Amino acid sequence: MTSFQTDPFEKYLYSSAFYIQIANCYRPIMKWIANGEPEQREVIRKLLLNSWHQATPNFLNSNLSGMGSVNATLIQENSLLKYSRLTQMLADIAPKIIDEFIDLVSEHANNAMTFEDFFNIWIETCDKRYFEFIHSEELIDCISELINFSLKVSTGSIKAKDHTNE
Amino acid sequence: MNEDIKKSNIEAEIDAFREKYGCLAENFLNLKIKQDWHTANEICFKHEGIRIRKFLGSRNQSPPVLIVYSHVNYPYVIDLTAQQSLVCRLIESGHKVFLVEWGLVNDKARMRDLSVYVHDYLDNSIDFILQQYNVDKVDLIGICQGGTFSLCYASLHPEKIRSLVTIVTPVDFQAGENIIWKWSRKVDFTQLEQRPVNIPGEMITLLFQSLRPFEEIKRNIRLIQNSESINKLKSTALVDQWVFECPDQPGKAFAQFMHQFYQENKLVRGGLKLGEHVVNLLNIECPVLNLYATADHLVPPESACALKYHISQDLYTEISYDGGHIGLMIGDKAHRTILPQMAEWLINNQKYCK
Repeated sequence: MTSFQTDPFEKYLYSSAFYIQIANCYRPIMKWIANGEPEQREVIRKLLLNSWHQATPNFLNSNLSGMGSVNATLIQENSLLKYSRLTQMLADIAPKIIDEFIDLVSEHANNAMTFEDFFNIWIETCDKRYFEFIHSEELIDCISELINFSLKVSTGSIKAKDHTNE
Repeated sequence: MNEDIKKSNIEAEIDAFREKYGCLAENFLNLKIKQDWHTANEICFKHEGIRIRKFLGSRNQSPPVLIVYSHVNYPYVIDLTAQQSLVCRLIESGHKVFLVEWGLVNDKARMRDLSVYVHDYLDNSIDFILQQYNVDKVDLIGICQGGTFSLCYASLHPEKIRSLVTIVTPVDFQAGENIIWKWSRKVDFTQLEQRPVNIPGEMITLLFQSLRPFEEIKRNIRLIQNSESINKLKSTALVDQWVFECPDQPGKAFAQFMHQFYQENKLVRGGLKLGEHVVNLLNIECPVLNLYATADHLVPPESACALKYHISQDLYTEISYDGGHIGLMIGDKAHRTILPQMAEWLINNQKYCK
């Protein structure tokens, strides 16, 4: 269902992709800020959203959904629904991050911003919003349901196995 | 003109980054990451599932110290390289170092009660050391969950413990921004306790990976930008490999730990029972040194520091480390300052509490 990142090299790979994706947004965003064209904000939003979708959800989603992997054969409809809810919740945090990021970098209209500063603002914004997300009751409910469901499937099968062995 | 310069700058920066990533990939493929102990050692005791590992190289008269590590990760992180080895710091300061290992998590382990680990196995290990070295008491170093186990044990058998060091140890399981408590609050551990299944280590790995992904990315980017440093890559990759290798968790003991310690917070609220044994931290009689990390996202400082409110004040000393959970075991600064202080504290206690 999901490929889990359990090799350190994959972490370096997705970190690198994350960096290059946002680096590709640097120039158009700096140009947009310098030109002062508020009506183009939507274009910038789309650019960042595209960058996010290219580089981010895969690793966040596979890590979080892996939390319910007590039992590897979670193919029931019920569990698929929970996985898709989690995926949707992750997708929902992107616009908030992007809007906050655009507001923050726009404050630098009068002074040139290095890519390092630009990248730091991006990752700090992602980090802050993600922190709020993982502490939210909505996510806690979703993760708990996933784990409880997975435990139920697993303990059910072990009960059957123990019964057979008796 | 300025725009052209910026344009060429960012493109050059991306190209340079790609090149560095290529360099990291090449160096990584050539690295031989081997999970092995840095310090020579031997297994000196085996009992049911557990083993005691004795690290070699200490003087004959050195006092024994037993390290109790968490179930949640493999313990080789205490002895990765000469620079990143708690074991080496202890041997250098004149200790004989032992480690209790919890053993394989197999079908037999899934039914094992938490009290077997925290009480019986620790008791067997400590008795072995006391008899083997003809001493009355032993010094304990408990790390993370192993620190919690050590506190429980020291409260049940104060007569066997001369001093106790707790490192990044949860005490109040609901204090601070405790994400593990929040995420486990609504999980039904009763069903797991009644019909235990072992919990795959991969699930624990993914839990840890889910907590601070952007912090990880920042660190990985720094690593890529310094990819020509083979030593840095090697030490980072060793730790990363360790992070990715959580062992399976014995079902029943895991469920009991999550239920009693996290959900009911019984270590500080009272009423904690391990089998027939009632744990009361006020029964601890030895000096306790509590090392905690100010930026610990797994064991918030508030959780670790709560210890001072639950044992006798005159027994308690604490040292804070300005860093994260793992940093206290492998960080350069920890090895330069905090761990030598810990070793000195142990030596001083050995002099005065014979």
